[in-house]
Amino acid sequence: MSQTTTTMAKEGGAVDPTEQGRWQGQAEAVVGLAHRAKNLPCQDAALTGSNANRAWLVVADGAGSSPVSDWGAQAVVTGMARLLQTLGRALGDVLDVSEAPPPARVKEWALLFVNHARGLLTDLAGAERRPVRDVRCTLLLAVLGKEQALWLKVGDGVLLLQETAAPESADTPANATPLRHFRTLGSMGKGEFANETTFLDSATPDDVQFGLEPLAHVSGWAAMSDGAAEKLVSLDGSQVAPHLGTLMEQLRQDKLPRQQLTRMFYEPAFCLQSTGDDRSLAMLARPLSRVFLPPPTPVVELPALRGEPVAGDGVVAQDVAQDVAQNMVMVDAPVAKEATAAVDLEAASAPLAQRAQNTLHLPAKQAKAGPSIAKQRRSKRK
Amino acid sequence: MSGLDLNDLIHNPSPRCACMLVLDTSGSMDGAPIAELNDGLRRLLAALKEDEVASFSVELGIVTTGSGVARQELALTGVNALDSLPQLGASGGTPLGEAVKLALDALEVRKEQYRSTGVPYFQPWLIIISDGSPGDSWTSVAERSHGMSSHRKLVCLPVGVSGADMGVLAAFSSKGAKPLEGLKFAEFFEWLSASMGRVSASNSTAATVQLPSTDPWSCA
Repeated sequence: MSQTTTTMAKEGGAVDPTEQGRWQGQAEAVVGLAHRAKNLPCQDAALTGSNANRAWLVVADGAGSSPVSDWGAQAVVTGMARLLQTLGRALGDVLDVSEAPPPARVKEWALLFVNHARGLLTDLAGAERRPVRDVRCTLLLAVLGKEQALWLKVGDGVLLLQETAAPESADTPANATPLRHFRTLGSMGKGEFANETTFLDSATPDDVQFGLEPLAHVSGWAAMSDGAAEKLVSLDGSQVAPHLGTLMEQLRQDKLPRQQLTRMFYEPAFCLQSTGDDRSLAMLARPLSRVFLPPPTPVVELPALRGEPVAGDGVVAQDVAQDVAQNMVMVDAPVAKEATAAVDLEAASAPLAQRAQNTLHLPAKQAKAGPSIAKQRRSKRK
Repeated sequence: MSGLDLNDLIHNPSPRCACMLVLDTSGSMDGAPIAELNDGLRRLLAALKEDEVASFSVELGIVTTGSGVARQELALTGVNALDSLPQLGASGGTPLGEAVKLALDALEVRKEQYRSTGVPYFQPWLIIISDGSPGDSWTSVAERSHGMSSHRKLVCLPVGVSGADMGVLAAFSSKGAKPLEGLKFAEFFEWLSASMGRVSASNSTAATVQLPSTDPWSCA
């Protein structure tokens, strides 16, 4: 019987996409055919979860040569999920800010998470009166806030995110299928030989891969063990299987039951020419309407440009701000309030444009959407 | 739900496990020993072909030390591409040093090919089977092999058939040498195929893979 782990913040099913949490999650871990042949248990564990402020996914792959690494993998995913739930808003200075925090702060959190995971293994080994190497495992983790996501990786496996590209032009229909692409995070985490990797108990700070990703254009996340990555991601991380995109879309529409992942892992195509390793996959996806798309170059006629009298700076600023808001497919309430209030428009629009530049290569005209609006405002004041 | 299409997935190359066999085919191996050796090789290939994972992973090569000449009888070739292994005869002296050098060089070339084409690979294997002592210069190549073995860049297993100089064979590997019990070549090659199967199926593990016991073929 395969050992699988999936936990949601709400018992009994996926998160309601209409809730503030927004993210849908699904996860599965199955025993590989090679392990099944030897009557070994599944040594992978995978889990996703979310609440009002956070979403997370955790995957752990137990060492094949360790007798009870399945215990370790299970303990790590469960324990890390609990930690992320408990921390909640304490991660706000990193996850809920539009401006990226200092890298040292991000590193501090990443190493704290790794230390906690190591502690989970140490406690488990102590309780079972075994050496820690008997329960050793790798770790993939991502925790998502309002603005940013922190990810980390110790060992092999793959972490990746799915980004939504901005519309190619202002003429792109609003209901056009958005362009989405995957991007892998970190390196593949293998040593010289195919069966070598790093485990939590022996990892040094240099072995911890981590990073912070702004979420403005991100509509999906996935973490998977190397057994799953065998068929879903190319060895150099440059290509992702089309099927993963299909799964993301199904998850986004809340149409991805866990059994579908189970069946996938045992499909003939998935098992052909395979090492037969355990496979695990954890995914998060959110509906497109929740993803901020930077507006195409706004076609806004300002009264001042046509020689008409200006009612007042505040009124014009509000009109322009409303146009900016309307050009967004959907915005979160706080951002919309900033745009419609007569506040410094540069402060409202520049960070959005800056975020867009940080995450995608936008055409020059779109990247300048924010500042160009501010320039128009300044010209009116003269 | 319809089955997955192969085009829906990524097709990564299988991790490779290169294994060079350095086989003593000198005159002293004539008769029952060479017959048992040939039979063992046949069993090895059959067993590897039956292993679903090893058949796509293992590559075999053979260097012999017969007729006083080290000769590469078989370049490293994937198991699935092999219908049979060369039938070996026995005669002449034992240029073991030259044979091991040929084998190590072939493994290095192969590793470089893996790297340049992005193919993942396991530790390569070097199996040395001999019933005597080298008739040529062997110490420097033994140091090379021993060094790679101790740094875990190579799995080197020297096996001594009755009459072999075990001290010399042990110099080639940081793990020493194993004596073959009688002419249990069949049992040895069955063990070898099982070991290669475990390696081929190993993932995310510590540096060593747990291999089957050598008791069925070794009298150590």
